[in-house]
Amino acid sequence: MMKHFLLSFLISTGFSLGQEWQDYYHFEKISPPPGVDKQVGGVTLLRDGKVACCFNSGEVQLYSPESQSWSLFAQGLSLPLGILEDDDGSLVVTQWAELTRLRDADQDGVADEYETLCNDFGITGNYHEFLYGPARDSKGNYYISLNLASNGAGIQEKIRGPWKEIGLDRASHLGGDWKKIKGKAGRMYSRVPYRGCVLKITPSGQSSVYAYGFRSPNGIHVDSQDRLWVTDNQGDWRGTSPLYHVTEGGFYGHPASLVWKEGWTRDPLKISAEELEKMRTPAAALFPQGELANSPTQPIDTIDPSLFGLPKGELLIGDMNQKNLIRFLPEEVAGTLQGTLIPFLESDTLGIGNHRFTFDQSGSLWIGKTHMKWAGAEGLLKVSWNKKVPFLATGVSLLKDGFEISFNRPLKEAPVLKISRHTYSYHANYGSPKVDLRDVEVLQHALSEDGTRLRIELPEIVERRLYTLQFSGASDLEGKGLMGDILRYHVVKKRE
Amino acid sequence: MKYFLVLFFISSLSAQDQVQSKGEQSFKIHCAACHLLANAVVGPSLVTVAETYPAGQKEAFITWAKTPGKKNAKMIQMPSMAHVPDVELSAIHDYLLAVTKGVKNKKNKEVFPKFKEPKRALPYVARASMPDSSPASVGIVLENGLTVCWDTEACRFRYAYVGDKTALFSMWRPAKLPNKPYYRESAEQLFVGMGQPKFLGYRLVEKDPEFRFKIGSVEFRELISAGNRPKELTRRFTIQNLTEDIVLDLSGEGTALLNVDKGSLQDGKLTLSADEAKSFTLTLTK
Repeated sequence: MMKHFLLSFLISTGFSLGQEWQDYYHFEKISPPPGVDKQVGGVTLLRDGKVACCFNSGEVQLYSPESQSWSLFAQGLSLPLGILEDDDGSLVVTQWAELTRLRDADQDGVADEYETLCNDFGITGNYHEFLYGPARDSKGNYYISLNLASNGAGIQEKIRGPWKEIGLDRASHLGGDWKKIKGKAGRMYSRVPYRGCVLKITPSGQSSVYAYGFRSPNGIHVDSQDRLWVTDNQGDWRGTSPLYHVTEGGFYGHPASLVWKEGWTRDPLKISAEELEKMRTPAAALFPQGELANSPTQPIDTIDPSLFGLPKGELLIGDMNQKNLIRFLPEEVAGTLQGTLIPFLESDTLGIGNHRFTFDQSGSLWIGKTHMKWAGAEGLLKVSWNKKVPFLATGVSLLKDGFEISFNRPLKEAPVLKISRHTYSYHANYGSPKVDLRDVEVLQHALSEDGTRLRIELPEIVERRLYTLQFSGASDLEGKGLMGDILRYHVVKKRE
Repeated sequence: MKYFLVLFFISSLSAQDQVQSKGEQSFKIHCAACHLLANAVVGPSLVTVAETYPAGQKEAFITWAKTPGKKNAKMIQMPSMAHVPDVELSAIHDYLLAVTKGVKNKKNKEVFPKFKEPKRALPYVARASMPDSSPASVGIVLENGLTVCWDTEACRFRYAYVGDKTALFSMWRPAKLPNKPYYRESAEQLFVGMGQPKFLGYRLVEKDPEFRFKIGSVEFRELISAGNRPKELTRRFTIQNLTEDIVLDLSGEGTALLNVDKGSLQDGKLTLSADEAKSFTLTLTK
């Protein structure tokens, strides 16, 4: 036991045997253009190799990596929080009031058409009604996610959209005694269409509600297999921040938006957690609050491993408060997508406020930062791989009785392993402590002949638990430490 | 078991022996989104909190955290931390006293300087949140120092005022206008008896915005420009697929002079034949 104690003391410094991410990746600040609010709401690579970036002061600017210069493409947008290039070369952005297509009809390099693609949703003037996205699938459909209003404030007199008469009356939302009665509105509320929902917009502009149950879904992404992923923020009905695999008609846990279901008449504040529990789809992954992420942001697909050093088929996800990005390694178990979160690029050099992402043609990752007066940062960071291969976990597979973890090169020896599991309360309260946190006994673990796969046998696998696997001191044959040595697997379904 | 070369048995380590202090961990979970060490962001800095609640004030700190009031008018009120156990709040207090030792507030300096609206070339068209209009409005700041509020919900010109302020959008509240509007249209419906319009967007014609919307199958365009004379602005309408006469109810308030190049204007109501309505211009002079 003493030996154990000493070992864990020596290696639990948080650094992987002296390795730092800067040994593998180069970080370069890119200066934003003058005259803009340097907070970045969206960033995307264009087909001509330029990087389009939207700033909180309403501009879309194009950066030419060749000339290292910016040019103004569009302006006057209201808090644009996402941008994509369409097949015809137009840029599609979300802004406070709508999804907008920006077109440069006269080909002079500046947008002259600001076409409304979708404004079929309400606005109350509450400060928390952000619009996120767009994500786009292979058929050209767009997906946007709508933030709920916050009871940190009421609404304005003039609103857009019909007011839903379920819950606290509209007049009470206008101010006056707001502070005294705001609790009756719900911590976060949805009284105009379709706050807390994900909308789908077809190429011809028809919009429909795609999914319900979101709170602050500041990350929406369609992956290369046309799967829709949405991140959300810890808060009411969110014990900790989740990542969801979203399918049509699904309900993802926050009840406020249920009022937009056809025929719905009940007050979401009066439905029990037990009833909601039966309706909700569990998260594919959970980010422990304060450890991995507090306010997760945009997911993005990993690219060709020869360009950035990460396996293909993963998602990279950002966060506002933690100085790390997060890899998500999905796998399908019993028809359900679930998987593992692993910290990535954790360093002061990366910093916090990592909001929006794109890979450029050379495989560098562009990071747009924001803070919105909360914790965060601003500006742009470009992260390039120096072609030295970090020692990584590249696959995590749930087994009937444990896990099998793959590495990109052999482990020197079976590592010291610490496993725990826990869950979070599902309730209207803000956040949740870890619930049912317990150590998990490792019955045995075994390394494959080539040293690249580790099989871990546990006494049992419990569904709806987040398993935390800590590999303190794991190293490859040369003694290089495992980069990202805490793996967090959310077991939604057991392997039968 | 040929596949697996080595078998190990290890005892598990305690989940509680994590190196991070409990206070730091709890701080990160419950507080870090709004409180930084030496800078006020959403909430006061830890230095300020430690000054307010020094070592002897732990009980007061815990009470405040569970039932917060409002100490600073410029900051939002903290949400209650009543769900956090006292022992954890106590650990957070210990942590913030420890990390603030010898640290001073960064005076008069925000973490990120507040964005200052630059001087923008006019005309400038900006999505806006403006008083007495939908939160989805557009402000058009013209070269001659007049500003128009155009509502994308009602698809209509709302009002004009003197002023060249270009920062017209805030997620917090409608923009404060530098002057009271000198002209405002306030009839229930601009296009009398025509139904709910659908906004389609706008295009820039020589930098001036031309708004597009539809009512049924009728397509409308309204181009807003500075006029030829000082304190004048023009609204050029183009309407397609109209088969009948049309009436624009321009009634409202203000001191501007209204001129039309077609149709007949009486008691604030402009009547145009379908043919006249294909293209006509309203000129507003302050």
